[in-house]
Formats: sequence, C-alpha cells, structure tokens
Amino acid sequence: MIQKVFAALLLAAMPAMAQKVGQNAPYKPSQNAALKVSTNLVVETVTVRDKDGKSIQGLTAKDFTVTEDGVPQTIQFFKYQELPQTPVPAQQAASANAQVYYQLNQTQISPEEPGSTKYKDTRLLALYFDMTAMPPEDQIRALEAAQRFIRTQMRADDLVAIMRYSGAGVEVLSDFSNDRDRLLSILETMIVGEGQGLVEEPTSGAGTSDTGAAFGQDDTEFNIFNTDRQLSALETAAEMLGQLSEKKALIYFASGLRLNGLDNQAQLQATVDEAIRSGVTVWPIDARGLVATAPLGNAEKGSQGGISMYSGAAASALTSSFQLSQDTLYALAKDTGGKAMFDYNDLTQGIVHAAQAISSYYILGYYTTNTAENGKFRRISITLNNNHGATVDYRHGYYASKKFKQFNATDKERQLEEALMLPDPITELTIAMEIDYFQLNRAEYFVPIAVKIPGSEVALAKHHGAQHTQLDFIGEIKDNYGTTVTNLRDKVNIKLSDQTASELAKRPIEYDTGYTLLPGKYTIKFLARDDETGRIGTYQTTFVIPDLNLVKNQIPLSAVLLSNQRVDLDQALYNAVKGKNQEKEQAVNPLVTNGQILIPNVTRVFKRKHELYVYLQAYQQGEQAFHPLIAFLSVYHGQARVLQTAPIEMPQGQENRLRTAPLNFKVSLSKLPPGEYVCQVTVLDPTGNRGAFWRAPIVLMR
Amino acid sequence: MAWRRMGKRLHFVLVMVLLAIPGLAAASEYHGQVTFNGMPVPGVTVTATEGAKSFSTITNQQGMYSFPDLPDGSWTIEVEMAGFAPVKQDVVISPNMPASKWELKILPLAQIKARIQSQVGSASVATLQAPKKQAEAKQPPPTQETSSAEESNPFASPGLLINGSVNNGASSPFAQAPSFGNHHPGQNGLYHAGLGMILDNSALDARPFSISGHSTPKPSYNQVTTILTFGGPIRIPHLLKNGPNFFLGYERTRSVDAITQSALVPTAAERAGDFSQALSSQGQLAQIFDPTTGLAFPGNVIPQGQISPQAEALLNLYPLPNFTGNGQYNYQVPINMDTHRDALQSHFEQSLGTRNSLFGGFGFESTREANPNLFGFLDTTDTFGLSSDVHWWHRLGQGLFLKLGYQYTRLSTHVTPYFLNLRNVSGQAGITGNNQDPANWGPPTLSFASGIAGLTDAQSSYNRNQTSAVSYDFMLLRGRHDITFGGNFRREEFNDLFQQNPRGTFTFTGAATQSGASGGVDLADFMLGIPDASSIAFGNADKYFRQSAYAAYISDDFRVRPGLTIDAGMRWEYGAPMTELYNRLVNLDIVPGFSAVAPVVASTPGGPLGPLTGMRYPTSLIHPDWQGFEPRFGIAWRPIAGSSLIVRAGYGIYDNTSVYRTMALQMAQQAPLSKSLSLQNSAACPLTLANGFSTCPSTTVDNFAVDPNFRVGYVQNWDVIMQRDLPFSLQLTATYLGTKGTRGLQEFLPNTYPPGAAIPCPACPVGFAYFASNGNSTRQSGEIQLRRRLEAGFTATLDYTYAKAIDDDSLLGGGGSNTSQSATVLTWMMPGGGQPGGTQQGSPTVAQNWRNLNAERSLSSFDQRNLLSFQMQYTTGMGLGGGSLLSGWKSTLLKGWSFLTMVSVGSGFPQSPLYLAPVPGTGVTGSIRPQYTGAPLYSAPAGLNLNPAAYEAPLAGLWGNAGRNSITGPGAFSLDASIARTFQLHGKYHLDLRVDSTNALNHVTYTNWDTTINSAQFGLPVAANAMRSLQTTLRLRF
Repeated sequence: MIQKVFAALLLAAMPAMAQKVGQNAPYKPSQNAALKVSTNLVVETVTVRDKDGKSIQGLTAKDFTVTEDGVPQTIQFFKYQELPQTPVPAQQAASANAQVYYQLNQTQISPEEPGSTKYKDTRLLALYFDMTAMPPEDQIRALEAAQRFIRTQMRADDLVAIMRYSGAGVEVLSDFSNDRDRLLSILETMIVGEGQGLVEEPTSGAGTSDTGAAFGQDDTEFNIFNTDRQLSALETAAEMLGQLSEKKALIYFASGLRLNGLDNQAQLQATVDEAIRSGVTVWPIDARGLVATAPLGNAEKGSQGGISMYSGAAASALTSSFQLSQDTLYALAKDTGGKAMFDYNDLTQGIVHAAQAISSYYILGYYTTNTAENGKFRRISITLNNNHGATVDYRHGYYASKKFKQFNATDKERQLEEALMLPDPITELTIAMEIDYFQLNRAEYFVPIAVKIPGSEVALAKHHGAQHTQLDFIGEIKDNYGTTVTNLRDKVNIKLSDQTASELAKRPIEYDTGYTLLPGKYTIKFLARDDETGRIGTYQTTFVIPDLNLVKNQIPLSAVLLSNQRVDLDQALYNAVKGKNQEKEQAVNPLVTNGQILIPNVTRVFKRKHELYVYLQAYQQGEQAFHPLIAFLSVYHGQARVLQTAPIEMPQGQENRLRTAPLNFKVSLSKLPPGEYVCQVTVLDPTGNRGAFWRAPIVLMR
Repeated sequence: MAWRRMGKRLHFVLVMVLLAIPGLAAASEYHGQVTFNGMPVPGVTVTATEGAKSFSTITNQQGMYSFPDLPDGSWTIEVEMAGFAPVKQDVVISPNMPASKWELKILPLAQIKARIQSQVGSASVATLQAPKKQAEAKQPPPTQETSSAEESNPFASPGLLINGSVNNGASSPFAQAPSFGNHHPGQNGLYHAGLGMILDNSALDARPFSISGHSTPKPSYNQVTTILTFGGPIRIPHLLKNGPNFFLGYERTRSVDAITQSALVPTAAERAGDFSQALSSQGQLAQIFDPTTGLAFPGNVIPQGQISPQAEALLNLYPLPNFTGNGQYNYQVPINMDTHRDALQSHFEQSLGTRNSLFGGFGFESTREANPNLFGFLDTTDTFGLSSDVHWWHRLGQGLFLKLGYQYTRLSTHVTPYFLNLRNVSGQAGITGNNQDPANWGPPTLSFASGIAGLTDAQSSYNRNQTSAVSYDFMLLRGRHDITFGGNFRREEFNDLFQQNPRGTFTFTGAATQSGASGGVDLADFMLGIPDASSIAFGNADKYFRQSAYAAYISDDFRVRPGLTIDAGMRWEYGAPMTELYNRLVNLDIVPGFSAVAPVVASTPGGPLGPLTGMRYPTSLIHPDWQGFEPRFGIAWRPIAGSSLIVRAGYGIYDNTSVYRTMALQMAQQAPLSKSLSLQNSAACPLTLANGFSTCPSTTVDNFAVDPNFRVGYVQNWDVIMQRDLPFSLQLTATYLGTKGTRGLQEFLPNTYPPGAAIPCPACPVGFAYFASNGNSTRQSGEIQLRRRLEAGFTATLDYTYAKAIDDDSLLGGGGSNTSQSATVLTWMMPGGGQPGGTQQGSPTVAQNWRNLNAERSLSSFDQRNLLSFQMQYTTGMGLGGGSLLSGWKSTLLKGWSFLTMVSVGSGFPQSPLYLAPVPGTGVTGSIRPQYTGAPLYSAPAGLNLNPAAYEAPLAGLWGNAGRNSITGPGAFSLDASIARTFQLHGKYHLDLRVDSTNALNHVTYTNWDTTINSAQFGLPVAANAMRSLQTTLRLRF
C-alpha cells in the first residue's frame, strides 16, 4: 500500500520538465469493467418561421409536440436562442490577419457528448469546397468569397468550419472555429488548381471543340463516376457534421454538378438522405457566378466545325448542359431545406444568406423513452400545436447509440476517433506513459514513447476461448498552435497462448512507439482500447523537446532512461512493423542494440531483484575533437548516498556530427532495502571543464 | 535596581528556555549552494564536522543543501563530489547567517578514475558492450509470493513488449506522412468502384418493322456490355505515400446484332433475259430495245447469245428472290453483325507541392467487327484507337497561372473485304481496266436506278491517323477581370493505305435499252453489258497527308457588377491546307471561265506552277487562308436587382474546321500520278462491262479540282436568352438564335449541260467536279422552354422550337470533331445530338446546274420547322417532402424508384427529289432533279407516301425544275422511357437495376422516303426507325 502511494505520489510530483512520465488516473484495483452509460438525452435545435420566412418568437415548450418514431416525448428542457443579425464593425474586421501556412493539416469535426449542445448561441457554417468541380478561376472566386465573408460579414457568434474535397477524401481543414486569423490563413493557404484532372470537361457531344484528335476517349463512365464521387464526398461531409446536434449549414462551392441521366440518381438520393438525417442544410453556391458566353463558347474555346454549328445543335447543347449542371445544385438545396445561389457574381452573398437563415432557434431536449441501444435511426417529428402555417425546421432524427458488442469496424473506428477528440480523459483503462528524447541530428529528435497498461485490465479473450485479443492504439501530437504534427494508429493483434494469457494477468503490457520531432512544446494525446470490452484509456500531457544546441556551459544530455528490462525483439508479443521496415526502424532507434530493446520503466518503481539499467546519450556537437567523458551513477536515500558506481569512461563518441556518446549503466539493487531513493547520473568532461547532472526519484519494492 | 536584577533574571530564563528548544537557541539553520561553472550541482555530499559531531546532507536538484539545526559555533564544512576536488572550509554558524556558496573544481581525468570507488560492493559497472543475450532478458516467471505486491502495483513487473510503429522521419518532419502506424482506417471511403452490365436480348424486344411488308422470323441477337470502374488515390505503403488520384474504367462489349434487310433482286426470269414482266416506275410495261439495232426485243426477252458473260458472272453473286414481291421488294434476309469491343480509360491527377499539379489520361479502344452484307460478303473491320494527354498546371504567382498540355491520339482502321485474297471476281468475269491486285479482288460496284439492290462490298484499307498537339494557356486574375490567353498547335497525320475506287463502279439507268425517251430497263442494260456510266480511281495506294493547325486567343471575363458580366475575346484559328509527304497531289489549273484545264502536280520540281495561268501554287495546291479571326462576345445581365430575370446575349464567329481532308483525298488520286475516271457511255466513248475503264478523249482524265483560292467557311452565331424563375421550381426560358454561314462549300460540274441538250462548248473540258467556297446559309430559331428544376426527385422540361434554315451549300460543316460516343449516353442528354446529321459529316451534294448555283438555294437538310419535346423524370423518396425519411417496409417498397420519359415530336426533314441519270459527259449521277408536274406531292396512292405523278423525267435539254430539298420527309416522333430501382445492399454498396426502353410505344417511324423517281421504291420509306427495344442495366457501386 505504501508503495502504491509512493508510486502515485511519484507520478503526480513529476516536475513539468522535458522528459515526461505520467499516468491518466490513480489506479484503482477495484475498478469495475462497467461501461460508461450514455445518457438518453436528445437535444434538438428548432427554427420556426412564419409564412413570410420570419422567425416566430415567444413560444414555450407547451407549443411543441415531439414524437420519436411516433411515440410522444416529454420536453425536459427548453430554451430560446436569438442571434444578432448585424455584421461586425469594419475595424474589427480589419484586425484579422492571414498568413500562408507551410502546409495544411487535416483535422476532424469534433463530436459532442450525446445529449449536449457544445455550440450554444452560435450558428455553424461549414464551407465546403469541391475542388474537383471547379476550374481554377472559380476556385479563386470561391476562396475569395469565403475570405470576404470572414473579414467583413462574420459575426463573433459564427463558427466556421472549412472542408475540402479534391479527389481523394473529404478533408476537414478547420473544425468549427471563430478564430478569423486561422480561418483566413487556411483559406489563403488552400491551393488553387487542385483536382484539375477530375474537372469534367465536355469532351463528347455537340458542344466540343475540334481538337483534330484522331481518336477521342469516351468519357461517359468517367463522368458518371466523377459525379457519384462528388456526391458521395458531400455525403461524407454531411455525415461528419451529423455528429453535432445543432443546426448546420453546409455551404457547397461548385461550378455546377451534372447528373448523367439516371445513373447518378441513387447517389444523389443517398446524399440528400444523409444530409436530412444529419440535420445539414446544403447551401450550394454556383462558383461560376453570372456566366456570360458567346453562343458556341468564348474565345478560349476552339471552333468545333461540323454541321452542329449551323443547325443550332451545338448552341442548344451548351445551354442545356449549363442548365443541367445547375439543377443538381438546386435539388441539393431544395431537398435539404437550403437555397442555392445561381447567376450572381458576389458569391459572399450566398454565405450570408446561409448565415442569416439561422437567426434564432429553440433548443429543446427530452429523455427518449426508447432506451434500446440498437444504433438504429430514430425519426423525430416536431410540430407546433397551434400555428399551422409555420414552418418548423429541425434535425429529423438521430442514430441511437450502440453497445460495443454490436459495433462494426466503422463504429469502432469512430469510437476511437471520437474518444481522441473528447476534451476529458477516459480512465476505463489505466495508462502510464514515459516520453524521452534523443537527438538524431542538428534539428531532429527521436522521441520514444513507452506506454504501460496493466495486463490484468485487458480483458482476457482467452476466457471466451479466443485465440487472439486485440488492442487499438491511437495517438496524436499537436504543436503549440493546436495543429496536428503527427499521429499514429496501430492495431495490435495478440496471439494468446496459455502462457501469455496467464502472464497477462500479472504483468503489464508495454507498448513502445516513437516519433521524430523538432524542438518545441507539444501536446500528446494517446488512447488505448481493449477491443474485447471496448474499454478505453486516454492520457494527455504536454511536453517539451529542448533545443540541445542551445546548451552551452553544460554537457548536452538526452533524456535519461531508467529501465529494469531489456528484451529480445523477437520475444515481443507483437510487432506492428515487420520485415525490412522493422530493421530500418530499429537501426534508428537508440534503444535497440544487438536485437534487444531497452524498455523504459515508465513508473520508476523497481523491484530489488531487478537490475537497474540506465541509458542516456551525451552530445558534443561542434567540438573539434571528442572530449573524453566520465560518467557515474549514484543512488541516494534520504540525506545519504547509498550507492555509487565506478566511473564509465567514454574515450570516443560515435562518428556523427553530434559525436553522440551513449552511456549505459547496469546496477543491481538487491542490496538496498525497499524504499524511496533518488537516482543521479553525473557526466563530467574534465577537458572541457563541463558537467551535467540528472536525477530522478525511484521507488524500490521488495 | 530590583527591576534591573529582575530583568537580568528574566533574560537568563529566556535564554535557558530558548536553549531548551533544540535548534532555536544554540543552533542555527545553515544552508548553501554548490555550483560548478555557476550551475547547481545536485547529489553533493556536504558534511559539517565539529569535533566528534558530524552531520551530513546531500544537495538537491538546485544544488542546495541545508542543515536545519546546526549548533552555533565553528564547523568544518566539507563539500565532496566524485570527480571534483573536495572543498573544505571552516564556517562559524550563527543565527541568520547568509547562505554559503561553493564552487567546485573538476579534477583531471586520471584523478577522477583513481578516486571514485564503488560504495556498495555489489554495484557493478556497466560496460559499453551490450550485455550478453538472454542474460537479463528472460525474466523468471514471477513467483507466487510476490504476486500480492504486484497486484498492488501493476507496473512494477517487467512488461510484455508490444513493438508499435515507429516514425523515423529521416530528413525533416515535414516529410512525414500525416499518419503512420499499421492500421489505416477510412481508406475504404477514399475508393469508389462500380461494376455494370448492360444487357440487350432480342427476346425482350419487339419484332423489327418490315418495310417490305413481308414478315420474316424475328432475328435473334444478344448484346452484353460489362463495365468496370475504379478510382481513388494511389497509395503504395512505403513506396508511394501520396500518390495521384486516378480513375480507371474498362468496358467490354460482346454483341451479336441482327437486322432485317429488304431488297429487290433480279428474278430467275430476268436472269434468263426475260423482261416480259418488267414494269416502269409508273407501273406500265417497260419495253426494252436492242441498242445495236434500235428495235424492241421480241417479247421483251434478250436472246441468250446477247447476254454479256460479265453480267452472267456478276449475277451469280446475287441471291434469288425468297418471296414473291410486289415489284418493290422480293428479298429479305436477317443480317447478323458481330462486334467485340474493349475499351479502357484512365485519368490521373497529382499535386506537386503548392504550385504545381500534373494531370492527364490515357485510353484505348479496340473494336473487332464482322459485318456481312445483303449478298453474304463478310467484311471485317478492326480499329484500334488510343489517346493520351498530360497537362501541367503551374501557379506563377498570385492570380497568375500557366497550363501546358500535350496530347497524342492515334487511330488505326483495318478493313478486310470478303474477297481479299479469295477470288478475283473481276478477272474471272473478264472485266478489264480495274485494279486486280489480290487486296482489291472482288466485284465492281453496280448501281441500278430502278431500285435493284446495288452490288457493293467494302474497300480494302489500312489507315493510321495520328495527332500530336501542344497547348499553353495563361490565366491572369486581376480584380474583377479574368484574363486568359494562350494558343495551341497540332500536327495531324493521315497515313492511308487504300485506293479510292479500285474495282470501279458501273451505273445502269436503262439508257441503253431505251428508244428515245421511252422504255428501257436498267437491269436489261446490265444483261447486255452496257453501263450508262462508270468511274474508277486507283494508283498510289499509300498516302501520307500532313496538316498543321494553329490557334491563339485572348479573352477577358469581366465581372462588372454582381449582376453584370461581360465576356469579350478574340480567337484566331488557322488550319494549313493539307499536304502529302511526297507531294503526290494533283489539282487542275483552270483558266477563267473553265474553258481549259491542265493538271498541276505538287511534286513538280521547282514548285508547282500552273501551266495555263502561270500561277504559283503551294505544295498543298490550295492557298492558305490566314484570316480566321473570330471575335466572341457575351453578356449576362440581371436587369432588376432581386429578380430572377436574367438576360444573356452573345455573338461569335466560329470557323469551319478540318475542311481540307476530303479535297486532299481526291487530289491524291488523280492523273498523271494515278488513274481516276468518271465516264458516261456515249458513241465516242462506248462503255461495256468488259471494258469500261478506259480514258475517253471527251472527258478529263482528272475528275476533281478545287479552287486554289478556296476559303475556310465560318459561321456567325448570335443569341438572346431570357430566363426567369417561376413558383414551384419552374423556370421559363426564351431563346432566340441566329446563324449565318459564309463561304460554304459548293460543288459543281463545270461545262456540263442537261441531258438531251446540244453541247454548248464542245471544246470545253468536262468530266471533273469543282470545289469552291461561295455558299451561304442562314438559320433563325426561336425556342421557348418551361422547366421544372429538380426538386423532390421530380424534374420536367417542355420545349418548343420553331426554326427555319436555308442554304445553297453542297455541304455544311467541315470535318468537325472526331469523338467516339458511347451508346450508353441517352441522346436526350444532349439535345441536337440526336438530330439527324449530328456531328457526322455527310458527303457533299453536287449542284445540278453549274451555271445557276442560286437554284440550289433551298431549305437546309437539317431544317426542322417545329420541334416539341418533353422530358420528365421522377425519383421516389427524394428530399424532405419526397419521403426521404421513410423507413421500414414502406421505405423498402417505395423508395429508390426512378421513372424517366422523353417524348419528341417534330416535323420532317427536307429531302431532294432525284432523277438518277449521269450528267452528260461525266459519270456523275445523283445531281439531276426531276421535272415537277404540278400534281399534289403528298396525295399519294395507297401504300406510298409520295405521289409518283408529281414528278417526271426532266424535259429533254432542260434541267429538272423540282427544287432541292423540296420534299418534306417523314415526321419525327420518338418516345423513350426508363425505369430504375436502387437497392441499398450494405453500407455503401448500392445496386441499380434499370430498364431503358427505346420507342416504348413500338410506334413505326421512318428515317426518310425514297425520292429517286426512276426507282421502283419511290415514295416508300427507305428504312424504319428501330422498334421497341429493352435494355437492362445492372450496376453495382461501392
């Protein structure tokens, strides 16, 4: 018990230094495997307009009837929200600054806890740029319109998200945010000219230039496919936004979208369905603006030759193709409750329309009477009791939560991602983590990350006769600005022999990963999930990778790694990377020597019977000749030194620019009584008259 | 005093009390810091000694040490740290003494090593060598007794290792992939694929309409098209992390198609020379006269001895009638066509950094067709086309872009006619003068005015065409202006291996068995072996045509106001006249007035020079036309703010492109480089089947010439479009479109004269066709359209067009774009695409009277006065109002159905009446029109659609007075419908099932009437449009 408290104290008392050791919550042996019980609170935002489109105010909960799948529900809370309509003053707008980022990072629409409204008193506008549906000039027009909106029209209570589709997947470039500088910077950085290879060019039919081509490729299937893909991307976007129960306006920038007969009808339907189910209204903006054209095309377009120039066929093909391209946008808007903007050069106006459509709303919540966790879509109907002329606009349903056992692969993945994005840590699994750093070259640091999870907490699938159990790891490192620098996703499938199963009950699981990072301040968020029970543990901390190049009158040292374990790599339970790539990784990993990996102890609790391994690196960057180093390890107990090793002499460093000198200690702790100690590493450079000292508390157990 | 003593005592007591509390009275807190180079040194042992008393402490992280209660007095403080010289100093401890500072000095290396001793005997020293394997790695399994401790701290035991992914960004973290690890979620969503199958089987289709009235068994056919599409980003782990987005589509068609073809073939009696049953087109008995004597054949029977052996040989190729006809048709046979088609298309797009992107595509199509004809000649056509293009998009700066493109396309066509290397039909029949190379074995083409099926077969050819094109475009976006300029260049190569007409053509009109203007049967002419006209063209089979085309443009798209856009630009297009690689082109040098002609050959050393006019010719023999300036202008305006009314207007000039190909082909097949003749049977030049291809002094040896100053035609288009939204998602659009074509192509036969007329200029050369560019055309159209835009799955369009088009050209439109079109594209998607003509090029028609080209001025062949079309499409379950949220069995039953129907009703297209006879002095037929009698044209006898009495042969010595395009062809009507159902299978898997029905009502419509007045089929439809067919499409998308 004392040792347990020690360990907890130790972890809690770790100073905010570069090397990080921590745990997500004090470990409770009695902790139950109970799943978090999700609330059955359903929240809806409802706008009510009269026949003239004006918002109706002053309604109370009694004016509404809510049914879910036809079953009447009792409104538990009710609130009226009104958003001001006036745009922001100009001087405030002028303060917004845009910078061009080096690269754009993808993020996600962070979900909200069921039954809550994360974004109160706000309107949510998602700007969605379909780059594959816009030629460059229209892309620029669309991006400029968005910038103008953010500079001059965006209100403090507007939250804007930026999404992009350029052929591969839907990218969320910004989650809902009112940080204008950041939004503008993202818009400024977005590349014009993307997705060009996928922009549909009418290469067949009566409206074509004479290219003199000996053979023309038939692009019918390509066009069908392309339209399907564009609509499918829009569906994905709607689905992402559907995680929020508020009303969302998706402003869709495209230079038209052409359906190819009945072939794209199914996908259009799927997209509209998803938008309705997700409570997303689509506000398409035709990025072409008001198009002026000569009858058979402007000067960019070659003459087509042929009889259709004379017979009117070419001209009418051009007109009808244009009309059809607007039709799809029109349908997307009409069928989801939005409004499309066509034939107008000021595209900003389209965003303003979408914003103004959300001027006031009622928030009402109820505890659903249907408590089944079946993941099914539940249709909500909200009606006004008296005013029959009014239009009531709301999200028409939601997907019920599911039990983990019923999750399919997609659900599981989403659960992980959502857990990663939730602000509060989840402590269903205990996670301890150690973050170290080793300098690789002038700029880069290798940051090994060791994660320990008590094996006893990982449900033993073996009990159910399974031969495998699965663990999921997902992690994300963000820089000071909240931009994701790198992220990780490992799926670990452990083969369960009888021996492994019994050892798991007593020994922790040690998961090792590593990143290459530049010096700086970072936040890591790491999550592990036991795929058997769905239990999740998250751990989040900030850490600093120091710039060792700046250390002058001391010897620059890496993090000091305390370990009680050196393991043959082939004895690992699982290797995420295999074959040659594994060898490549290990060649760079300083913790691997001769096929053995040194495992950070993480909690710094040792047993007397264990050896204590200490590993660190000293650097002598820029020195003409290597200064021989002397290093020794001391252990203190209270106000006395209880142990000191003989010095290690390092006459030579490695042959690299850093002159890396790896220092290894191995100490037996068996003679020391259990208790609390301080471990110190001293490195001395007598030639350069420099030293470096590192110390950390450790706990010794029986 | 007492107070003083008291005070002293009190003081003493106080001191004693203070002394009694340890560390307060006689001891002081003493602290200090140990540094090295000014930096704190932790772990230093600081020992305070006073006599036997000795205290010891250790410095902390900050190098600080502290003795909380050191008795006051003089102490020896010793600061000791391995590797440093020990420091010793005496310090007097007293209350409130300042902190001590100790600066350590490092010892030399050797001394350090000597001094440091292991403090605990067993503490071993690690070596730099890695420990022996398995020494410590294999931990003994935890014993039972320690398990309780382990339960209390789950982390104390050695862990079971899982080696996770490690990110070793080698050079820079910016090069890292956005995510790493062994699991890649969401990859599936990035990829889309489709699997489609289009089926058409005769079992579900209606029986084809028989224009002969004779019913035959329904042909059985089957068509299967398989489509595979796939697309997404290419990501190959560890090799290509951020690969291009790509699309891949593959289409395979295997079809056996069957049509029923009807024809009129010679009867057994006729084959024996018995024409006693022969009727003229007017229905009377047609008397045949012996051309040698001028007397009627007795009993209208040609004696066996007079039947030409050539005719007999060729007759063997004709099938016998398979039903007793009505004089119009007597033979009907189903024809099976076999098509194998494989096509691949691909596209890719790759962004390179923030400034560049690369995109392009590649596709090919291979078709193998086997087409038998009426006579059972099975010809095969193999085509292979490929196209590839690559574009580089580069951002030069803010709002300044550059796009470079390269395109390469190639098409090879290989036609193998039936008789190739099989049988020398002409040679065996005793026909001379034509090309009898094994590649061109086969019968000559026979053509009969009376409607007897013409004997024909494909020509052997192997043509390979290819085009390379480069283009550059700059785009400059400045404020409200969007300025683009650029240009392109392309080089077209046509490598042809074929002969224009190697086996020759014979035309029979009945002239030989005529006496004066009476009697005469074309088949009897044939039996006697006397054609009325013949033509042939062969020699230098290999031709290598080259053409360059250039274009440059500048355009400004000016967004004046939110509601006003003006687009103005200028384009210049220039297509150089076509040349031949070895300059094997021949034109005619013609003196004004066509009184004399002489060939001018492009390969003449020193450059082609007109022998008569002295004019210098370029090697293309046509002077280039550099004047292809094409201004383009468009305006779009929203006149009333807040209203949906939009007015658009535009004007543009568009050049007629690719006009030289037909001319070059003909110029490449002329004397003196090769043989080309077009002859009429006359006393001076008697033609027989045996010897029909010899030069004739009264006819030019070259049959084609083109105006050396030929100009490229252009068309001016202008339009005004007004558009307005109405309630219920309706939109009303009114369009006016005006078209004026200038410098159209005209073709005529100089120095010709009407049949029966005296030769106006016996010395003048005759027998060649002449191309000039003086035609004009105009078209005006008004269109009104009411549309319901797509909402809740419902859209409909009602469209009415009134148009009138007039021209005097022999052909409108040049080569135009050569683009393959898929059968799967519904024609209604591209109005106009389904109209006759489309983008295909027809063959030029020859003017009847070369002296009065104005007489050719008439309605255009594509003139459709009224066209009403209606389209409607409805999909169930779309949108909030449409039942998007239906669930359960209702959803399963009612959602995802689509219905589509397209109806189009239009007036007929104009057609010209024809009198089939050669133009005197030439072998050209098809340009002479009949004499209009004044009888009502459309009040036709039963069974006919045109009144044969309305026309008669032109009067002797005069051209026919019936106007070109003066007949209105059959009215157009079509009704197509589709029904489709979408099934959501699982997740993103969708299955579409669709049935498309063409001509859903199975209503008979005809393509056009037979307008050749000497034909037995005059007034009958030439062909019927397809009857109802059902095409099933199954598509799986995921």
